[in-house]
Amino acid sequence: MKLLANPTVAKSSKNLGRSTASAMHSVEVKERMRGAPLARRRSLVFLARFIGILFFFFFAVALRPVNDVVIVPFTGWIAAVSAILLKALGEAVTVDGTEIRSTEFAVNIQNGCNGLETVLLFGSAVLAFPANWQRRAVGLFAGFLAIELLNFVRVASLFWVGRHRPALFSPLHTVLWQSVMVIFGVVLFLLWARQMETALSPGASPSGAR
Amino acid sequence: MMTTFALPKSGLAVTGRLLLGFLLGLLVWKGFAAPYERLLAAAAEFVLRATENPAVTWLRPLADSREILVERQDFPPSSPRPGIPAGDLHFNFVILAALFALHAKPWRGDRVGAFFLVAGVLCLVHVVALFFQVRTLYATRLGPWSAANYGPFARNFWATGFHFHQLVGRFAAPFVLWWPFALTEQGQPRGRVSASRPFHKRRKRERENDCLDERRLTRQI
Repeated sequence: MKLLANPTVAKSSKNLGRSTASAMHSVEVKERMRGAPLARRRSLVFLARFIGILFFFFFAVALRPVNDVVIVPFTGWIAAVSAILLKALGEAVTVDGTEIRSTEFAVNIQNGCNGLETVLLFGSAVLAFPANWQRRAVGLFAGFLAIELLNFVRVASLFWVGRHRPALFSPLHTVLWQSVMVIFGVVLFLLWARQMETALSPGASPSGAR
Repeated sequence: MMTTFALPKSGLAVTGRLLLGFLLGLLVWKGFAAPYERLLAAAAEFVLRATENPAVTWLRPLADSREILVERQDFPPSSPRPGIPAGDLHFNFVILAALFALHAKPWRGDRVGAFFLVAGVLCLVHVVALFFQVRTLYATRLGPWSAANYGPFARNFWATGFHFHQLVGRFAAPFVLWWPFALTEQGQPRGRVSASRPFHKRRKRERENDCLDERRLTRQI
């Protein structure tokens, strides 16, 4: 108290405090000003990675051996499970490879209708995002399950609509369900990524990031 | 300040905004589909004719069947004209609208501006996609004529580009274009000076704080 009462000391002490606070403040401001472009840069790095991984996945899926050994059997499995769902709804259907048939209507499930496009988008985004491998694996597994569950509903509902309301089949197939699937995949990714949003924030610690 | 996703906290809000954006996008898409397809066909036709010699391609949008008909001067008059489903090309506008609706206050001027900017870029993507689709048709679906005019590399190039767009490109495009606007900066610490505050105002605030410090000091004494 006495020290503070001395105007010279008080002034120098105050100056010292002010200069320290001012220095800390300017560092903080600089960090913040640096932070926004850093976040933008990380966001662009994410996009570049996302596009690169998407291209890689596309070329992997486009290879004929991969298509024959993985994609076609997987699509057949989608058809089989969707047929079970349709039978549960009282539809008399049979499955032949990737085709679901009834006496009046048939659909052939191809790439683009097997949920693969959404899985590829979601998978590329999860792999491009800075997170540790354990979290990525959990995200990929849970996302794949959720997307394919929705895809069973999509295939079954499209078959039902095609059989009972044929006029609605084309708009539902082209616009509605394709958009719903993609938006669902994006929202799933955002929900997963929000858990790790600090990884994209400027002051994030590098631990946990790749 | 923290960088965060433009995603509402509540699941109900996410669903509501997506649904609203989707429905609005659907209305606009449906309402403007026919004139947009005319614009798209004209732009892609311009690019096609600029890159072929002689320039023989015409693209004719058919409003009834929602197709873009491919016409060439050298097609035999009696042969059927191939058509390209137009809705498949540009329905991803609806996805873009739904994604932009996720933002808080999507009607804000800068957000609407960003949306129009991105929609313009998406339009360019549609033109390129239509260009690739017509080239793929020429390279792979016209039998001996394709084999005579397109070598194996050209066939693979055009077909791969088109297939990429069909399988993932058309779905990824709205997400890639929206992503730079998906991050927002939130949580300005209270009582701190913003980095964006003009310098003279910051100095004024600092001077006021200094005066307050002096008064506090005097009282302590």
